[in-house]
Amino acid sequence: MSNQYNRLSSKNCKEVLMQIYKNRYFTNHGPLTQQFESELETFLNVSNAVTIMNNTLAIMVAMSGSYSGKKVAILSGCEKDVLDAVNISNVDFVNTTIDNLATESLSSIGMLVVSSNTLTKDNSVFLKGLEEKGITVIICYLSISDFHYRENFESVISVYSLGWGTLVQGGIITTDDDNLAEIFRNIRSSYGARKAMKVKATCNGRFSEIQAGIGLNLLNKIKECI
Amino acid sequence: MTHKILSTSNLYEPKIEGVLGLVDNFSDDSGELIEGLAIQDLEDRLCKYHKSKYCVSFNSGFWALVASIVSKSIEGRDEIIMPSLTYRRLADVVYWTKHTPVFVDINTDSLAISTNAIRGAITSNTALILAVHPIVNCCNVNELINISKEYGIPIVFDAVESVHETYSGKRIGSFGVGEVFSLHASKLINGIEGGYVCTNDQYLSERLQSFRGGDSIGISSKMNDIHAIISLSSLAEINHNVEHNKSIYVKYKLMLSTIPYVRLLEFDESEQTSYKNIVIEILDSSPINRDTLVSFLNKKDILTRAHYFPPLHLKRTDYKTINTDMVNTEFSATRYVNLPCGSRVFVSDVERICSLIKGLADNE
Repeated sequence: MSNQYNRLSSKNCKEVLMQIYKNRYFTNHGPLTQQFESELETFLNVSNAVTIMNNTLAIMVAMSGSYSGKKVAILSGCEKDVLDAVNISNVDFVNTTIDNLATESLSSIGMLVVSSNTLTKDNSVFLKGLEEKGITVIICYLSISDFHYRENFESVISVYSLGWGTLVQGGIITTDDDNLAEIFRNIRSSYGARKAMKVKATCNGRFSEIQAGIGLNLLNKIKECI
Repeated sequence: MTHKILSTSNLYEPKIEGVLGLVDNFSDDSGELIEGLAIQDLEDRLCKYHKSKYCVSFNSGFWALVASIVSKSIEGRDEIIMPSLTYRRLADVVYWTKHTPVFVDINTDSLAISTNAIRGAITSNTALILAVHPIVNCCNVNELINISKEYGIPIVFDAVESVHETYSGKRIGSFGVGEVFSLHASKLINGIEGGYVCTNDQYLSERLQSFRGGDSIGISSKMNDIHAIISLSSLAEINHNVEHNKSIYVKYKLMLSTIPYVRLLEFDESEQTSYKNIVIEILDSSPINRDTLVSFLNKKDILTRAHYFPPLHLKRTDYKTINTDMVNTEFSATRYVNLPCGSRVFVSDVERICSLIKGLADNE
């Protein structure tokens, strides 16, 4: 479904640009970004949607913000964005498989990162069990139109990729946990943070009004398709 | 009477007609934007503007800095020498590179990183020198590059506030070693968001491209085409932008000269300059202190800022940092104020701001 949005029309670009000029808001977390986050929360039926500059950074923010100091397990089959994010995240990680997790001690594991395309009804029960044991599971979706994978398993933290090829990219972290969401916002930058929270480091992952305007356009197209 | 909010951000708006025209120029016959074309054009034009051999664009100045440090640091070494009186997130930049910031002192006359302090901080574990140009005028570029050569330590310049500036008549961005710029809306060239690195070093250019592509050393950090289009429009209008900033600066200079307890940091007009940032020093003879002035003006919707306060070495972080002697930094940290500037500030605003500063001090 996501491939049909790999091209961006000049008409759409111009509409977004004219809206930004009308708003006269050029810095970060402006009216378009706030509207986009709000519409995403409704569309994905989640309390918090935190937009991030690109998908790799979004995964990095999600991992860094929920990192407990225990190992991060990266499930085989994860997309390149996940592997790039973990390499730069300053987290201690290990590559693994569902079979390994099922047979090995989990005491050293604090988090599991999974790509949505590896979610099946079979492994979803196992993943749910991990969350019940206190292991944070982050599901990384290739597109916001891939939300149907949540039928198999809905994790506390999800990350959605947003993009038209490399023309305009973005990432979205969703969670119902208000405290975690605020940590993610603070790691992103002080723009858009609702209250100041102590985080280890910020990453300047701000979402621009251009990205938000294009994102709103994409979201409307997806709604029309459903 | 209500007043508009004035800030320290440049917020230059390139003409919408020009921006929309560029969207057409970078679209194909079917009306779709062609991927990468605007970015390539922007990089080519920035090379010409800065007189640099290579330009590599990024999604932000922050990640352009991370990429430059990762790409140039000596492998196996940990320490990055940098000033403490600087951008509040600069130590976080170093954190994501998996290195340790070593904070060093500044010179009180220029507010630039002290070359003596750098020499004193170099150890066998120094991976790179991160020099940062002050927001008014520039570092002593030649001396810093000489230190880099003398000790065999790579250097990168954070030049995000130094677009359009020259040092010894040579455009910042043309020194070849890796100079990092921002295209955020608050900067001289407004691309809404974005950053870039100028260098004459082909190897560094290739490493930076590899980083932004998310290859083994980096993370996906490519610029978006539409940000490139707005940046191109802003770049085309840069002289108009600078002329406006100059008119603001000239008015500040005239009006502040009548207030004896403040000193305007003057641009070195023997060099080319952007006239973008307005910084004043609150002198010892002043009846009000810096923080009183900032608070007073902020209440009037004049969003002044204490200049780089607190300095980074006084902030608590959960990652390792190393401090050195900070006498000049701590002396300067309580004395300077950034006043409103940029495209949304006009001469009449400057008159009001200066009158309020004068009135406050006179009433004390």
